[in-house]
Amino acid sequence: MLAALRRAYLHQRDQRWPRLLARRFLGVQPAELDRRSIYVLPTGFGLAYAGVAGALAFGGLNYNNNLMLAFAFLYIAAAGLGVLACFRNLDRLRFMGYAALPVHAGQPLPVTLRFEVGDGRGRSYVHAWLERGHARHFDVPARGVRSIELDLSTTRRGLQAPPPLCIEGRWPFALVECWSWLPMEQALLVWPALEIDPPPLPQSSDGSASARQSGDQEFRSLRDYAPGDPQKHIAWRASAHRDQLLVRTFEQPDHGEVLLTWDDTRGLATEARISRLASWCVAAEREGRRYGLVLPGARVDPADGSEHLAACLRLLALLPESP
Amino acid sequence: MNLSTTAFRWMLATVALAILPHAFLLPWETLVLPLAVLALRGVTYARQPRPWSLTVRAGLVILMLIGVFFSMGGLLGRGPGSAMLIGMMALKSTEAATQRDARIGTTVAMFLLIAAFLGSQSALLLVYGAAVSVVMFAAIEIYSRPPDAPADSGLSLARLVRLAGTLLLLALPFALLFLVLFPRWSTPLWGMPEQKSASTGMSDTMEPGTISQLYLDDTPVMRVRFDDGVIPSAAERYFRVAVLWRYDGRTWERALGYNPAETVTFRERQLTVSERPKAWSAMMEGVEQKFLPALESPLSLEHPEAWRTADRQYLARRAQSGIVPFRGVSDLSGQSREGLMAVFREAALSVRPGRNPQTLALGRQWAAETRDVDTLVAKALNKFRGEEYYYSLEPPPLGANAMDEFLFDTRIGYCEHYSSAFVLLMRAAGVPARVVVGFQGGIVIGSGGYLLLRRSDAHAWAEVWHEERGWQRVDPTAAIDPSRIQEAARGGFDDRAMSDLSGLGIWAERAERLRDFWNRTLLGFNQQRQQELLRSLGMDQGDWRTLMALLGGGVMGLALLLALLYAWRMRRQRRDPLRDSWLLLRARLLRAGLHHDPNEPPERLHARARERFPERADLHALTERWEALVWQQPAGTLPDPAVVKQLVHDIRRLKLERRPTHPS
Repeated sequence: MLAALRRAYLHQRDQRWPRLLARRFLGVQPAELDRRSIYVLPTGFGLAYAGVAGALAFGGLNYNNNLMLAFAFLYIAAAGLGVLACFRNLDRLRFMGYAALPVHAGQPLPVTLRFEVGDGRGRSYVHAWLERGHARHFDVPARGVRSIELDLSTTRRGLQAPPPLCIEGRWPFALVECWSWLPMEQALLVWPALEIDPPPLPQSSDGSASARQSGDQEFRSLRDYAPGDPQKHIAWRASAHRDQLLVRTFEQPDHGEVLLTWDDTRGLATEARISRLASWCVAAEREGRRYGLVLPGARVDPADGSEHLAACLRLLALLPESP
Repeated sequence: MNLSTTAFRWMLATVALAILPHAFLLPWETLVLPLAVLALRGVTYARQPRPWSLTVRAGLVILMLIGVFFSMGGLLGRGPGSAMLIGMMALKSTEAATQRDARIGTTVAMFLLIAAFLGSQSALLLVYGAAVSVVMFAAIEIYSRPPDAPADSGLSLARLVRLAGTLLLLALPFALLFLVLFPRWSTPLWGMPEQKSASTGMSDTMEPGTISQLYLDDTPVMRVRFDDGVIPSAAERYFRVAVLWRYDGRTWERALGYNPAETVTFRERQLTVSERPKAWSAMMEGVEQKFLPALESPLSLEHPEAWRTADRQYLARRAQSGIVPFRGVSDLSGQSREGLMAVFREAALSVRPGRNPQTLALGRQWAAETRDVDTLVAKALNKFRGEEYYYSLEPPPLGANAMDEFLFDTRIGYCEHYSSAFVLLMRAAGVPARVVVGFQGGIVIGSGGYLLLRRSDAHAWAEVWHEERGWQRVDPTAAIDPSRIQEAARGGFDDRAMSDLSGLGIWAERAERLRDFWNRTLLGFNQQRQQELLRSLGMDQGDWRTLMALLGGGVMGLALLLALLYAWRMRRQRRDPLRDSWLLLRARLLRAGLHHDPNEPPERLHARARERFPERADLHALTERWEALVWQQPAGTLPDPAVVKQLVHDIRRLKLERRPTHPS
């Protein structure tokens, strides 16, 4: 019973309220915090403080002890101003937007958020979090901007809608906590997870694999060893000179092209197939080969480069669950 | 997460500073251990923030309890209670390390600091309290930062003190408003908890040494002002505290318990001479006693908790502390309305048989000679005046028949001895008599401004019953020949009854007047004064609703004032003269009938204006001047104020007739 109540409360607290309260800013950019969107509640310390100040005022009234009363009232008034200061520390803070470079599912997604202050007051010790317990604090200078990075955990590929952003602050004096919820309307892309130990790239469809594997490759340059490089490509002598493993790269004039097709991954579950294709794309890119994708309903012509890789991974990420 | 050393030390400093003023309320040695522990913890925290070992902590607690027990003679009551709270607070610091611990520490420190005002309300403590409050808020601000915040960011002492000081300064007007307007209670809900080590003051019994212990104590008791501004002569300045009837040969005690339930109704005497009523008001520095000293002989006394005993003492229902204001009217004609009922007559004549036989024999011998009260009184006073009686504050100790020894053997004593010997003689002679203790004389401050009574003004005198004139005051001590006052007696005690003496030097008097001002304006402010204040503002019905409404209005007003000040400051900071000048120009143009388009740049509006007023060269020149000023100004610099001023001046002079847009 109690556990159910607690679950219900946590659901409300973490899922419903933030979305409900963030609705005010839907479609508003930049979102500027104001008195209608900032919520204030006392902290535990604030309650203890109020209790002691109240008790002292009560005692002062009872004994008609004016100095006691004066200090009790001074502390109460100071707390009131502290609440105001805490509120003003968030008031008129602008959330300008956010962006993130995609990562593979399972890795934390670093989201860069940008805040701006248009007036002459700097903001101090503002906390921001997307996931409870993973808050970052930052300052924003007067008439300045500040970007912070918050990690968002990812579990599955595709477009991920981030939870509402919580902006909160207890500065100064931590008597109250002011907070506000802001919607994160723009979904963030998460690439498919990579297979941990993927099989080697499939043979090219033109059947020239044997010719290319055996020999007359033209040596091009050396580069740092990366896990997954074939052992026979390691330039042992050069590595010994440099104290780090180097591998030879080769000009691959005619056999670099590999077409990664959906059918190459036959026999696996859908997600596993997507994972494998993504891993292959990454592997092909690392090996410096040109690669293309053939997916149900989509096709990418062979190319290379990080933009090409991103396009391929994006396509894979957005693939429906049952193509 | 543990606090940084700096933050932790700020917290410890707050606690230590809050503990310090308690040195005046508690035996100082009880504070040695707490302060030492705080200091040690502060020093070692940088190296080892972990709690001290359990053995050490437990040992310190036991040590602290033993210390409190031995220096205060127990662990119960208010004094040991606060000593233990202080001790536990200090010991808590040996295991404190987190933000939460620091907050507990600060909350208790806040309580301790303010509770010190229960012991003393001096101006010095006020200043000290204000300074410690600044430290306290600075400490809160430091340890409230996120623990992972860069340790040095904005930790500069000046910045912290400025932040905390600004906060308190801004809070001050609100606090004062609350202090003046918050509804006060006419009577307290509860009394002061029992203080074991009673503060010295007048007592309701008199035994050898009760009064002499006060002679060296110059602590003020009360300040009295007279409504007509005339201070009575020294011989009239007797302030009654307690009336003592019962004598067991050593101790004088009152006849009735100090309990309003025991009030006996009594008949008032017819007065033979008309009264000389004199109204006065007093500010007593309460020392947790119930007495309300009243000028003889009191007709009435106004205090929310006062009641009058059958023998015309005024008492409060509960022990009073702090500044206790009250008013009274007394009759200076030297007579009293108080009657003498049979039960009291018995008490006023009773002597303990078998004790002091010589004294009783002398009294009976006088009674055989005459029955006239005045003659009997004169006989006794003549004995003290004519024979070799000495005045000394350090008389030889007396045995079981104390009065016999004093009257016939040692012949050295002070007011206690003389008043009690006199009363005993009168009773033996068949005249109802009693001892009255109180204050006598006092110092006139500031050429008749007010009368200051100090503990050293404590005195004991006698009253005898005269069938026609009622109770008559007799001060047998005043009968001693001044030449027979011995060295040990400080000052001219004997003279005091006779002359006004100002025993204060010029600086002491200034300090005394400052203290009086402090008491009257701040400490003595209470419900009654609040009502007077409201009446002076023209509100006769000053109930709590009125007060709350005033308070709410005041807070709003103050807040508005602060907001305006702030807005004005921000405006001045942000002021852009060019923009202001354009707003002025735009207002002119809109008034002339141009339509308003918020998304339009100034140049477009100007172009439209020139179209609308093609013949107005001055308008054309003005708009071009403005544009030139804006576009030729290097970024980030301000134009020459004189040029802008001229521009604004010309804009103000611009007169345009209204030419509204015609529908095309």
